[in-house]
Amino acid sequence: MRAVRALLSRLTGQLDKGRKDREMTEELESHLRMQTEDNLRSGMSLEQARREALLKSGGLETSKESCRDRRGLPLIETVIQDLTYALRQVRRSPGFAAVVVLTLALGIGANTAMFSIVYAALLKPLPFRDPARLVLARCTIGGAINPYVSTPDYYDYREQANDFEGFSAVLPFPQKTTVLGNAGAERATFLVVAHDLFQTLGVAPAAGRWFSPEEGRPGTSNAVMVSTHFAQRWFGGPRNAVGASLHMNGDLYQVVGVMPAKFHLFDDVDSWVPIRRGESFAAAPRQAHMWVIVGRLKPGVSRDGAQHQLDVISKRLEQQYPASNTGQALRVDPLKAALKEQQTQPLSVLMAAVGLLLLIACANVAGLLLARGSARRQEILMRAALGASRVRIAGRLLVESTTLASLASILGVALAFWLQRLLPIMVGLNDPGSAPRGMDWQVLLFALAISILTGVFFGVAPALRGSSACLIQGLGSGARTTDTKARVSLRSALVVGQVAVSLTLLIGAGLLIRSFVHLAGIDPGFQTQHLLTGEVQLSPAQYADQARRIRFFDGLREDLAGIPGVKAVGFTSHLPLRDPLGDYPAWDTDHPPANPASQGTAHRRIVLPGYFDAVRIPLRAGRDFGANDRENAPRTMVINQQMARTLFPDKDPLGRRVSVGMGGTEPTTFEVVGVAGDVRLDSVGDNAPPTMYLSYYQFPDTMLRFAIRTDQDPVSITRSVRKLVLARDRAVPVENLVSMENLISDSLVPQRTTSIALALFASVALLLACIGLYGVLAYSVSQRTQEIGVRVALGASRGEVLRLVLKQGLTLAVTGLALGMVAAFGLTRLLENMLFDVAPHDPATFVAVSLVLTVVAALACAIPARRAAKVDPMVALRYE
Amino acid sequence: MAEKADVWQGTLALMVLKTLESMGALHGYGIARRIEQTSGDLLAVRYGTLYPALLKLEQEGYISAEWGISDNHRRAKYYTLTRAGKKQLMREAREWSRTTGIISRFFSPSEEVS
Repeated sequence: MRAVRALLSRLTGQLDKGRKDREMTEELESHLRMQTEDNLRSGMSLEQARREALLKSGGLETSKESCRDRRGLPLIETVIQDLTYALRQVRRSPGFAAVVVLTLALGIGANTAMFSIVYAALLKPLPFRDPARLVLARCTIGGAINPYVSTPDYYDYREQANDFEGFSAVLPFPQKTTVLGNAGAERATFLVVAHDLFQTLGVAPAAGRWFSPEEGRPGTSNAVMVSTHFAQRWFGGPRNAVGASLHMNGDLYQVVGVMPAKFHLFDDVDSWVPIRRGESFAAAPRQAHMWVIVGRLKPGVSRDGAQHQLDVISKRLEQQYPASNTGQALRVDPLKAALKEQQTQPLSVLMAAVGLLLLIACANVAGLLLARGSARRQEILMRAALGASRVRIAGRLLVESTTLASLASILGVALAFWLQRLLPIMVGLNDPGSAPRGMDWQVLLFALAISILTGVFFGVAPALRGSSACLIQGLGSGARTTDTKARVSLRSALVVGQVAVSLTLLIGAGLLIRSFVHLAGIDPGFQTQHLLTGEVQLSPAQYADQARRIRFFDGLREDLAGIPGVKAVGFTSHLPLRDPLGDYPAWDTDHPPANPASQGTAHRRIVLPGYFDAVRIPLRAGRDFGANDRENAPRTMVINQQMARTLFPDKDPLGRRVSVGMGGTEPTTFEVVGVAGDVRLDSVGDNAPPTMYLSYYQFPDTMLRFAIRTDQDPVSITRSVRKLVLARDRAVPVENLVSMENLISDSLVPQRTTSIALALFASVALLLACIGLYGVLAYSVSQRTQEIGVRVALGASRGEVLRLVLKQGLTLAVTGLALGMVAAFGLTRLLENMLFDVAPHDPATFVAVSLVLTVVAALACAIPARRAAKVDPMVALRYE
Repeated sequence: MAEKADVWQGTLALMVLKTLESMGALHGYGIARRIEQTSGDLLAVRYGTLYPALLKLEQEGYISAEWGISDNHRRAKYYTLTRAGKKQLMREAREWSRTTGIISRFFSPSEEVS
């Protein structure tokens, strides 16, 4: 207790220092006077009395010092003193401070910006109640994730699994619909979800209520929940929306609740519609896979336990429905991890790269401080001579580095705000809105942590060196301030490290760029240029008659073909590379597979005649669909080469029959009339799956997508297309008009942004490493000026001097290169998943990058080398 | 003259408290003189030892200080014992006699353990 009181006293001892100092002096002097007077009284002379009193006191000034130490807290005073000194140093050499602060700020800023992206994308806990218990359940076939679950399977699992507090299916593809209001028709999006999805997630509505279980049953009134954004736009606010009616999908819906503005799951949609068993999507058979399931584990239930229970149910389903469920299981993963799967690796690679960048920046700064340290030796020696301990000297140097680091971190965080917005644009992200805004406190905490680490990291070595005992060598004026060997090799080691790290980063970037170039250049199987794509949706209510649908699209096809500049028009249910989904079990009718588990599936596409021609998918055999492939005609299909290979190896597929399980009790049988070339359907990186094309006349759906081949820029005919569709039917909208080329490049955005970002970081790293190399070499030349002067005076040519310096620099560079190669060999394996058609040890990339680095390093060495070659021996020898 | 030993800080604090108890309010010089006299001039009290000790006692709240006028009509800082100081003094005195009692047993002629 007393000690605390004393401590507090000492803390406040700083205040009013002047007065306290004066009082103390007065007190001590009065003591001295009284002692002197007493001495006088005992008979000494004035001089003797005074001298004796002084001797007895033990030294006035030292006593004052002891008192001052006792009064305040010497540690804090020292630190404040060091701080003021450090700031004075900054003011005295602003250029040096600026370079250090800017270099560090760049590193700290880049790291903070990158971390804010990583945090928002990967680390931030999901904004749902108790997110640790949320899982994503996905279907696996034969162990591999084939994520979508069929409707009957979903209900079976839901009824039988009791380890779950919530088990809600979601159709993770936004559906489009038309909403009718006073102002006219508008397009809106919706997600079909289980009625208790929001309960499972634990997100309360902003207004209104959740769906009730009744609303999830067929035959009741239609209920819908809308987003805050939609409620604002359509009703003027969430409050007004609740209870209002909405005419959508050709039917009347009642708004029962409004979801909060920030709610996001799978996609940002305008509304959510509950699943009703037996209706629309939920009427699909056991073979149609479409749902993913969001589940909440009961408290106390582990994921393994739940997984085990689901496996038991899966086995049961396999036995009950061997035709559809063989080899199928349901797999649960933590929700956050499952949602972030795709982004985890690229973002981790980028975060590691920025971290390495910061290390390189620190190494640069450490090098600068070390160089500065040698220049300040005189000052440090003076202080040591005056009695400063090694700890004090090191402490002061450390405070200086920490001050610089703090300045850098303030600047760095400011820079991070700016970089946060700039980075997505720099790497070519078209939708910068998806990048995070602002900093969560966790990100700021991260910035603080790395600033401290940075300060320690680059400050420790110079502080230790600066205060090292081997400094005490001699203070005489005129002593040449040459460097100690140890200090020089430390700086060289730092540069070698920097070069090694930059090489590793550059190789990584090079591999990713090559991979991206391959990806962008591969042949998807059809001609992608000059193709305008779009989507036409007929209202199911108004086009209930199938013949009417066929008439509409047939007529539209002719109209579109009439637009000047249009070479061909194709209609399909799913466009390649844009609309995946839709695979069904298919097998050779005459040779049904004995084991249903080994049954293959094929992707299904429904097309109008002329599609293959428009999209330029070559027909390898047989024919396209024609007017004869109508409703009442026998069912025909065109298969692709992959399907021909799988189903009819070494046989001619034309004329053979294929059975497809499309729902219903019996499979449908088709005759193969044509074989088309393979097309990459899902993404440019995947191989073409088995695909079957069916005639639209035999399966007329309400929605078709088109691909129009033009001889000019496809976007130029957009207006004409819209006009023609409207002319046919005012109430039918045309959507998603975009050229195929843009679609493809958009699909490659993740790979492109990752490779550009890594290349950016690697280039900055190389730049910093070369600056470091240049610094070391320039410093070395300035140190060796006299030596060079002697050499030249003794007959060395300029060329020899040049070679001498270059050799020193290139030795460092090549050592770094070698180390970097070794590191790269080990590390690039980590990139394997992200590479396309490029080996992690691709020799071409390694060699090319090494050459680039060597050239750049040579340039960095050239400048000091030339300066060395220009040394005038007369000047050098006189230089002290 | 015998060599004057330096005074340890801890025991100095005890001596200061005791001095102030017996003498009442005293200024720094007075305390120093009193300690020297009581020790029979065997102790040397440096300013650099005494005044920090006084500061410490003041910070801990055992003594209080006030500026006043000395006998020579000069300004001087007078120190007084506080109630807490008095209690601390008694506590420390007890400790001290206990310690010296134990130590002295080691140095007095001991009886043979039979």
